[in-house]
Amino acid sequence: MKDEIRIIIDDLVLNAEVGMPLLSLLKEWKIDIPTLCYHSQLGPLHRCSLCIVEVRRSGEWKAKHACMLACTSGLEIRTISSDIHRLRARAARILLTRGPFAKPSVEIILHRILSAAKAAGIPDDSQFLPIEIPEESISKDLLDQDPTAQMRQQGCVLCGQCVEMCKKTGNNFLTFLGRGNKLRISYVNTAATCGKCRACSHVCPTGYIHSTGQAAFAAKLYR
Amino acid sequence: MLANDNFLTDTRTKLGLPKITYTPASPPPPVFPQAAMNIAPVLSARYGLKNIPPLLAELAEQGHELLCPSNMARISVGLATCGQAAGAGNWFKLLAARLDFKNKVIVRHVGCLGACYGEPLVDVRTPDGKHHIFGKVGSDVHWSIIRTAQQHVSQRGAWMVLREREPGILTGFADLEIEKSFHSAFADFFVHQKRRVSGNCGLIDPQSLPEYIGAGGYFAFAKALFERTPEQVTAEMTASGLRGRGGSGFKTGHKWEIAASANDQDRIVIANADEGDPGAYMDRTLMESDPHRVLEGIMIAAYAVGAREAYIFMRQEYPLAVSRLRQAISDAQAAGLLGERILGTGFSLRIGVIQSAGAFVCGEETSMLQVITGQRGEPWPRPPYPASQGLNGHPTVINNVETLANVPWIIAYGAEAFREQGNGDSPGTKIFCLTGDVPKPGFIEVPLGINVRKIVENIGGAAPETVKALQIGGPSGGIVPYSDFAMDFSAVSSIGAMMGSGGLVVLNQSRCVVDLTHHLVRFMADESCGQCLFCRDGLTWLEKLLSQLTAKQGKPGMIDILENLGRDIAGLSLCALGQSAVNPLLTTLQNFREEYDAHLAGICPAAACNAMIHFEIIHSRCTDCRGCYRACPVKAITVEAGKGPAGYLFDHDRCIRCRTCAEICPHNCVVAVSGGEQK
Repeated sequence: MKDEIRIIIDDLVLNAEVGMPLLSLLKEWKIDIPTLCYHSQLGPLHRCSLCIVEVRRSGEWKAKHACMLACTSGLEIRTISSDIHRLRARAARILLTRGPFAKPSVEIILHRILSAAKAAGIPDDSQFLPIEIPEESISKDLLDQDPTAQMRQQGCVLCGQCVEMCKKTGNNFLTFLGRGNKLRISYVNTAATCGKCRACSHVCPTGYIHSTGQAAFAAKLYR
Repeated sequence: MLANDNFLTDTRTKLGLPKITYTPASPPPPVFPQAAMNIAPVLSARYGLKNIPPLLAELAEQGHELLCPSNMARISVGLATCGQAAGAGNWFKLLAARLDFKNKVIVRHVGCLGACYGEPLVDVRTPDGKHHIFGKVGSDVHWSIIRTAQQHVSQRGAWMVLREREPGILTGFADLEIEKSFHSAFADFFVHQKRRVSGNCGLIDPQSLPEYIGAGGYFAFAKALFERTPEQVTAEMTASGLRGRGGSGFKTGHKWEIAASANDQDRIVIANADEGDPGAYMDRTLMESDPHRVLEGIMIAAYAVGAREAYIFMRQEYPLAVSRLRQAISDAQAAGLLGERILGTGFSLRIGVIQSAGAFVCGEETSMLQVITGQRGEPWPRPPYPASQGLNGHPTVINNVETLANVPWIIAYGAEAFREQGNGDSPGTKIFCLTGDVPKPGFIEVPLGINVRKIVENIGGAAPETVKALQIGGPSGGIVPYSDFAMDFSAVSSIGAMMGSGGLVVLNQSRCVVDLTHHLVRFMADESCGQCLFCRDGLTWLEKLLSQLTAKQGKPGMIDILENLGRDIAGLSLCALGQSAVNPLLTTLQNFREEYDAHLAGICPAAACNAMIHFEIIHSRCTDCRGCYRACPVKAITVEAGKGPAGYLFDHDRCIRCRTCAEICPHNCVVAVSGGEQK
């Protein structure tokens, strides 16, 4: 049993264990934090950038990711502010450029963030986005014809839950490959099939993995 | 050879030409009582070592005989990467193969003296303790080098003559003083430097353990091992105030204290040699020119924190440094300076070399630890810091190579002496790699707190009015306007840059800071590990915005987005790569905002961005030579015959902005112009 400490979240005082990821605590207390890469069994993965909160450090509020913070004594955070809205909206727009997504739930989460930001009076910066946010009406067939979309793994937000899950099942067939804007997930296994446990497709938030990790990622290796 | 001279003289006399007198080979050089000199006691007195281990004494004598031969000359050819690139290998081969050098001259290859612009550099040491330095060696000075070595008298073509303060004692560049200089710019390059850490570079053979010991190497290690407790060594480091030379400037002594106070007894020392900053090569030069100093630093660090294993994490792209360090490790092992029960004490250490896979982010300490354990190079959140929980959870001291190379000096001469250079906040010296638009680029070591003008104007030789800005600290540092400021940790961070690893790129008036920022942001966007959304996609976004701006596609409001997106990336990234990746952008927005505004209006003030320039001919200078007309690959220049300079016309739509015409014009009359009417 670890030491119990008290931390302040939005003027609420909560009990927590020392060193516990803040995001896990927030999720445990059902505090509304949008996430795409969090899974209670996998722990924080630091990938989706949506769980932005503000931490008070020497009198100033600083935006940080809740998944990267550990509960320490005297921690004081807030989950709503105009800057949080702005940053989450920015992250949400970046994530939307990776769409369209097979599961509508992702777009619902992201658009909810955008409308919350709009309600808070945050100006829209989407005209400066590097890639236009794809319309939902783009059909899957069209996506298949566009080789750059495949290379970008359009429809995947690179949350890494599948990689982590595959590691957890002991198979370890999925990995991140490349870096920078060429980062992608790939299937690396010399055997013919991955076993079809479909654990990855169960955790995939976007529905990019519709059958198996092998089917979703194998063909895109070194493209 | 003398017969040749006579022949030549006779021929000239026959032809009625004036007689050439050569410097006579006699009188014979004065003989110094060096053969009898016992170097080990001299060195140990200097370093404060009371009892000399017999192994060191013996190797020091051997090395000293090679370094400062008593009755032979020694030719040292600089064969680090820079020397090899300049073709020094050829001169080394020619000199080493000479049969008439037998028992008269020894030819050795050494590392880099630092004056990279003067490569190939050859140093001829005559037995009277003088070093005749020849720069940009070519066939014109080949015979001068040979004659200097044979006759022990300086010949024409030498750039500089250095003298050992006490003839026969050479423990680094600090023991040399300038006697004569035939090339004032070359002497200026060295006068303002204080070479401590890089003192041996370019003087000793990096592949020879005896030479390193003969120059005082491993005496500091012996002093630490036999006459100091680990606590005393750490205390000395803390007292010296040495700050990490890799980037952030963390106090080295403090880092060692944290590791040494951990309960876990399996402690590890790692030398970070994954030097990825473009334009920075301090670590490479140190490892290529003086690998044993790096090893000695690691050994002292390991002794101080109680580590039994150490690793050197090397950049993949440094093959020469890898092979030299590997050899240095095996030499030290064979001599009993590494391995089990070193020099008969209870201290054991083994050092391994690990090669990085070649990503910039792998130089970040936590991601480096991931790579060593065979994982993908992705950082993890700190704390816990590696000094308390690092490689496989054990306390791990990670120091930059240059930091570790400072350690033997501090142990040898003490913290007090170390603080004599530099200032209170940033003591000691720092190695910088001066590159960019300077006539004399190179690897320099200067006291911290030195005025930047001294570096750029005196050492680099740049004319002050040509210098526009400085890029300090690589792609994660900042771009600051050229002005008077001191080079130390606090002054550099107060102007928004970062000391970083020590890259110093000088930019002249023709460089566009927006274009350069675009280039650096693209580098960082490509090198981001991709873990944090803001670092990966945010930097890509920034890169797109900057490329639009330089391509004359800027939109109003773009600069505000650049600024606040830059701040978001810095605030929300996990590791130092993302946090500092936007430094070039933020510093240029702060210092050169008018250039961004100008780009938005379609004008590049430096006339460097191709989308915003056109070419014009200054008719008053034109001599109607038609060089540009002939060189233009797309025939965008037309000449109306008979009209002289006024007949030259540019087709701006056809022009591809390749700049060939501007480069080829002998009178500089084709100039790039941004803004204004296209004529």
